[in-house]
Amino acid sequence: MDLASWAIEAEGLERRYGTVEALRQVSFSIRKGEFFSLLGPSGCGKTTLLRLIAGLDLPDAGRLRIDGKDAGGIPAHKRPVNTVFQSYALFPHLNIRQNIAFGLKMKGVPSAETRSRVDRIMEVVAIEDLGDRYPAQISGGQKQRVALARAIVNEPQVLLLDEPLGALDLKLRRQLQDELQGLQRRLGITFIHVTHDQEEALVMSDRIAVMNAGRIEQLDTGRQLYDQPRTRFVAQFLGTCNLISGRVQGIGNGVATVGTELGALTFIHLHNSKTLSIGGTVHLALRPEKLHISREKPSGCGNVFSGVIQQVIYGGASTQYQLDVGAIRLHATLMNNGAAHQFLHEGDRAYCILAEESLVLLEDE
Amino acid sequence: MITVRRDKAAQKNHVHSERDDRLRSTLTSGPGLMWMLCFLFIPLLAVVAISFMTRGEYGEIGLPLTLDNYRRLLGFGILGFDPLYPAILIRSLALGLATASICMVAALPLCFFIGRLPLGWRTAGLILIVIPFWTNLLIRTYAWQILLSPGGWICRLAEIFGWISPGTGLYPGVFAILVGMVCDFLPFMVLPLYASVEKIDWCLAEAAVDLGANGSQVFRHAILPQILPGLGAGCILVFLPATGQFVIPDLLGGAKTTMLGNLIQQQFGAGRDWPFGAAISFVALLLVMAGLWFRGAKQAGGEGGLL
Repeated sequence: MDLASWAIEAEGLERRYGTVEALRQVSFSIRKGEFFSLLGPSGCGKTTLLRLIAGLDLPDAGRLRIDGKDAGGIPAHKRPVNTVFQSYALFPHLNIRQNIAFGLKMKGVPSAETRSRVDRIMEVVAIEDLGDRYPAQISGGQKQRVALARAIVNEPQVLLLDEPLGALDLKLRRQLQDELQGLQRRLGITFIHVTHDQEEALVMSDRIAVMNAGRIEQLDTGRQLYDQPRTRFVAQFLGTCNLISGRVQGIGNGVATVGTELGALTFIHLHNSKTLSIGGTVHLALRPEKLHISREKPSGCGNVFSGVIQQVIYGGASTQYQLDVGAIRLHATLMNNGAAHQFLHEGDRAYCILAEESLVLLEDE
Repeated sequence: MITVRRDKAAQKNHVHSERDDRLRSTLTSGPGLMWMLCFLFIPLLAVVAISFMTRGEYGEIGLPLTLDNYRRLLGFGILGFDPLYPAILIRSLALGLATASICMVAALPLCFFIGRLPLGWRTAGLILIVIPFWTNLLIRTYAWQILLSPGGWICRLAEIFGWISPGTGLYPGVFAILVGMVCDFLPFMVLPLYASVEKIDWCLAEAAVDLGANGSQVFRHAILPQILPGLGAGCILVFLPATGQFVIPDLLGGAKTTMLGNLIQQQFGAGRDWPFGAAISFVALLLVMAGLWFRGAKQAGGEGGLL
């Protein structure tokens, strides 16, 4: 990809607050027009990273390019970047119209043009009739729209969203997720969206960077992150996951065998993933919905173990099972589509199948 | 039936509690009201009444009722127009205005500085601001006399920089008066202003920067609206007493300038002209009330119209 198609390029960004390392060697690139999410638990450095891009904070080390230009020397108020703040940060002494027009006023855009641009953007986010009100007089969802309008009216190269939906109730959140995504597609602006809600990130983003303790653990599409997590942290942060550890016993042609507490497990091992050595410790991940359970012992496949059902949680569309195989507890999620497993109860004996193509080898040591 | 009875009981209770409330509010606000009536309202009424009376030959207050006192204050005395009293009035207002302005300019950076200190240091900073109050105003003012008189190190420093010609002092004079006034009134500006600086939502400043505002624009649009209430309160707290102040102008101005304060004091003291003194007091009070009313009206005019 040529240089002009990157909206943001970060190289080795570092930021320390006293003894706390908020960001450690963070490097990534974001394409123009991409909906990019920074996902992680609170305190993982995602908001710090957003502030570095906005210019509200400066890195201790590393380089940052916005639209191909080195951002190091560009002060915050001159960056082609606008932010939707978590607290909205609307100016309480200005009405909604004046709030939205603020950025244009600072840039000295003529008042006639300002008026028409503000009108247009208020129509886009559906707040046409709030113009004369003050921020204290509107609801949380409306404030969110105003904050969004105030940022995008400036037509930034990159829009930064700091947990913009965090303060809203679930229903409104879902609705605004849809709207935000639609808006991004329509405007073609690069969105960088900070969230700790994994589902929100999966639903909305083109690509997601999962962050932990100041580092990017994995940067991929949502599907890749979910299906091929590289680390234990990613596997457990996105959805739930069965983690099984063991020692390598044999490496064959595209397949490896691991001795675990369950017994010997085989899994598909391709040469482009982590190199294995006999006797080395490995960790495998398996999504609950990829673990099969049946009452009868299946024939003709490997990785079959016998266990006892400990807990059955009926969840409407699906049922969650907890199954003890020896000392190991496995989680399985099965769709309630009329299959035989629906007759399993707590205390029943059952067989579980850990399909070798579903086992994911993690990079953790 | 049960519900009806319960309703009646509730009503009774309600009446009872209403009477209780009235009794309680009378008991609690009564002393305050009496105090205000005896020590504020009645004396004030007396001042207004006296201001329309005539001074007798030996300084006694008597009839007939007259507007002469007010006419005199406006400069129309028995010898024709004399701008002495209007000049005193304007000079006092100017002193109050100057003091309030300088205090404001000095307090703004000071408050932001204290607000940015670590938590424990902030209290220490505020205590340092208030500590001079423990020394009597007269003593502080005499101290300034010594510091600013010819030959003092401040004057010598000023001579070196060529700000004053050798041998002359900074005291007595307008400069000395302003120094004394600002030192006396600065805490009245700092305390309310600091209270609003401490509450500033810095997120709004970041939002303004993010939207392209430069340093002065951030201050003007995101910070100033937030500290305006404190600034307004501080200005009133400084301007009003500063306008009536006469000890400092007397001591540091060389007792050559008459201020509203000493004019009033003279009338009630050596001058023995209570009606004229009452008239001056009443006019000063009206000016103050007009100022407060203007501020109140401006604030009620909507948040958008603050600036």
